Amino acid sequence: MMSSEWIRKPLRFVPLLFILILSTSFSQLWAEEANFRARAHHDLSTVNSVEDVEAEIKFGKTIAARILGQFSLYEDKSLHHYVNLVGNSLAINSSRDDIQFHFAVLDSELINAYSTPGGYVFITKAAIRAMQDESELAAVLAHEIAHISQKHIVKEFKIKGSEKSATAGVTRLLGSSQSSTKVLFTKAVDNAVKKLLSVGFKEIDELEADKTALLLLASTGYDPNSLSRYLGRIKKLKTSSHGKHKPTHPPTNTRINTLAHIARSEQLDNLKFPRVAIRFAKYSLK
Amino acid sequence: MKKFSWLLALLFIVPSITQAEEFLYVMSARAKLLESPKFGSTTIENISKGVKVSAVEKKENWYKVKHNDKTGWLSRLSVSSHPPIKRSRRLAKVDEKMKSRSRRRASAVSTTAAVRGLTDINRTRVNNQDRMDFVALEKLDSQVYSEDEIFAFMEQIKD
Repeated sequence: MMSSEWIRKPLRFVPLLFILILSTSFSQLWAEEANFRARAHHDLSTVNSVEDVEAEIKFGKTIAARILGQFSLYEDKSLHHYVNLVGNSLAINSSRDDIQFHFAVLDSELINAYSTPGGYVFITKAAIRAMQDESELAAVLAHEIAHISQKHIVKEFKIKGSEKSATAGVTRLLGSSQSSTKVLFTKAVDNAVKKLLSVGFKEIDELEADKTALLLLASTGYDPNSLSRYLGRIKKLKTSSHGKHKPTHPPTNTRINTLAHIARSEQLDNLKFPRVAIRFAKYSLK
Repeated sequence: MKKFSWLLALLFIVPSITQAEEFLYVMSARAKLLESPKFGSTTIENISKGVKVSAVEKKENWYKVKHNDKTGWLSRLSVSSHPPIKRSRRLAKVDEKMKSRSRRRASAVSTTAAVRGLTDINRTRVNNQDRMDFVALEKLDSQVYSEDEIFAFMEQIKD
């Protein structure tokens, strides 16, 4: 019966055919759009509520105070000012406008840099002494900013402003008079300090910080190859002067190879970016 | 039958037209809208922080977006799926709580060290590991740089 009707009145079935074609094409479009939204959400899901950001800052301040309890600030106002301007130039191009970044030089002969949640970035004077230009300083600061913008510590220690998990509700923990809640908070801070100063981040977090740093350098206008250059140089320095120093980062070759791969995929390898050696020389350490 | 078929067709078309767009918010102070998804590409315009743009495509570390009548690419570092959050004003009060808490804790550490019979050297080591320097932290917190000063500095990023 259907076939005879199809032969007698073919135009009657045009709308049905239309529906079939449309539904196929739209289902593809919807699938693509849903996939796009899912990827966008996955990539950009690091921003939380005001309470979460406040909890992050409070947690980060306590860790920063602990780091400052172990290292003295290097007394050089003009160098601090300069490092803060380089750091804030990068930070202004990052996605963390919800926090105020602070950069400080530590009076230490260890070549290293640290960052805490909430926007505190520390770099040692020995690390700066090993640099040759401003883009290398920017590279190290960008790597530390990336740990903050990607919320590596915040995610690992589940720092939240409202949830009722072990270390969540930092606001409550700080304001609470109960010793059990204080112990939880102190334990989380202890573990975070230990992670920053001796254990180090997970390899996947370090490589993600390198990748983000490279993009941040290029966005700000600095030579993105500066991170690889600096890593190669300090590898030699650390091998000669700190042979038994416990590494807190993945193998340098892995990092340099990963950075080269990203630079190629972003077509950065053929672009010329400034290294800003002259301005840096005014502040270089003896 | 014919009317029913057209109605069905409309049911498929209307939702697709009214499908919600994906919006992103600019988080960087000045995000460069580029002609193509790569650094060094021509800048169409700078988009200010907080501006809402419509995202149409994602390619690695780049989002293709529509802004006013223009279409271009923004780095994933410069956008977020949430609008910018204002910086908190309540943190100064908490700083006082943190300081008083750290003083209590330092005292507790000294007491514990005494109970455990630690020598002066060991006691210093325990105190140093737990020591918090809020004076140095306040010094850092007091140093805030204006966007104008930062942008002026950024303009000199050249060889």
